[in-house]
Amino acid sequence: MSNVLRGFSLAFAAFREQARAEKAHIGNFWFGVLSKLIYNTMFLLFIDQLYARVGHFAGYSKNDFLFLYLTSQLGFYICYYGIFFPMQRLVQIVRNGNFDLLLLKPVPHRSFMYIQGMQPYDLIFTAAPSVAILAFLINWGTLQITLGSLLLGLVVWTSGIVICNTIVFVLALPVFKTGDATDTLSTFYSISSIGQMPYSHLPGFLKIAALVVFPQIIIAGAASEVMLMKADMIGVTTLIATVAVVSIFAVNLLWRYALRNYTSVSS
Amino acid sequence: MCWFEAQRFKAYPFEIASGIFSRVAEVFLYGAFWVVVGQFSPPGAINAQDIVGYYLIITGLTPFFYSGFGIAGMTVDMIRTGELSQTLIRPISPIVTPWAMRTGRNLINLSFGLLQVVVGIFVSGGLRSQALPFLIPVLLNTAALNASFNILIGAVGFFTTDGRNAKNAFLHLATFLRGEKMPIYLMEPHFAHILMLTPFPASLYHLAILFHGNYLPEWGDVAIGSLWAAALLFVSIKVWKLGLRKYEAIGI
Repeated sequence: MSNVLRGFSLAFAAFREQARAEKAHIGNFWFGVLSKLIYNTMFLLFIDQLYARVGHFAGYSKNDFLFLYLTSQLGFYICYYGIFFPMQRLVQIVRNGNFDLLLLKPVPHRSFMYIQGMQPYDLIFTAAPSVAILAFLINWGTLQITLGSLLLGLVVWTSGIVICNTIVFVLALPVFKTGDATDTLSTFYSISSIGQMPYSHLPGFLKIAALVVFPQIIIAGAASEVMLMKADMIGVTTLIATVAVVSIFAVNLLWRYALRNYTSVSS
Repeated sequence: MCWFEAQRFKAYPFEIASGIFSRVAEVFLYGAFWVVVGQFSPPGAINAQDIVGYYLIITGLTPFFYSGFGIAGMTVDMIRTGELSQTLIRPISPIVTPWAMRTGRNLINLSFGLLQVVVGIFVSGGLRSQALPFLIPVLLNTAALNASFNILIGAVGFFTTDGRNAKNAFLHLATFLRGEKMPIYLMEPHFAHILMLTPFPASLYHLAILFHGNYLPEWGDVAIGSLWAAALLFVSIKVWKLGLRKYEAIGI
């Protein structure tokens, strides 16, 4: 029990330190809010213009597509602030030697690194206005969602985030080998640049690519498709959840490999 | 300076690989999106090949005119970290220095951009003889507008130390309004007409459709672009000088 309390207290301290650091740059914070609002406004204009042109596509009405976009943004913000930033911090601390200090601390290293690196303040306060506006624009009454489809969709959505975590870790891995991973990690922006595609309508090779390279397609396209009952719900969920479980094993192995590699050369 | 910055690719070969991978991934995803939209929308609404060609051209042109505002971001960083002081005490231009550095760092994007434009021209048909009279004024507009955007956003760094996200906010705005997410010729006519009154289409879209070959800009729109280019270039240099004066007074 005391260990659990100690863990919580450590996590809270790391969390609070990061939130303070974020609040220190208040100008950047407000520009961040503005940036997200503009991005979402522009994407809404894009959806508006696209649907004015096509009417509907792949069984998605404009309202369905807005829902797909909301699912996508929620997943993106979690991956960006909760996974990408900790990995960016990992690259930094390996480069400047502070990773040694982390390894010396009597804490669960990986969890501590994630909690210390994520940007909770930004996640909650800069992303919330955009998400709220998006949620407000959706006509929830006309969406075909049942409790079962919602739960299965959430499984797919969470699996997408788990897969994303593995992929982003792989992108950060070169730092343990070559001493830098800034650019490889930056490819995160490209692989998540667009995921608003209906998963079951994709060609086979792209479905596979989504599972191993483009997780945003899973988080957005596959999850919303399952929630809206536009695909074989059980089949898609089973496939993606299985890949997520495999990816958890993969990331654990890679973490051990990275640590072995780091400790053998750093001391 | 440009060559010096490009040397980093030798030290970190992963950076070359990831630079290429980033570009390929983006092109692949956008291409896939439009192919899916074209395939599963009512017949005739979307010609996927036409849009993929257009997308290759417009995103291929981006690094040549620094339309990702990387120079602005770099200027903001130089001001924030005080690196600009080192430039100011040397006999080099503080406006041109980030340009040179960025060009070196952008080598992969420039090479891949050129390849994209060539492939895009091949896919969509390419420059036609009717487009030739437009080429010089449209090129000048594109260069001047992107230069002024970069200077103007970079100058934000003089007034606030947290200008990075300001750059991102402007980039999100520009990316849609200059037709990078969706060609303006596919948008609703009244919306497209309103857009033509802004500086954004002249900053990239006009040049992209010239290379694309299936559409031409109107002379009136090009003239509006020229007016914007002259006005924004004047304003951006004024704002830069104003910011620099403030920085020299307290920054060094």
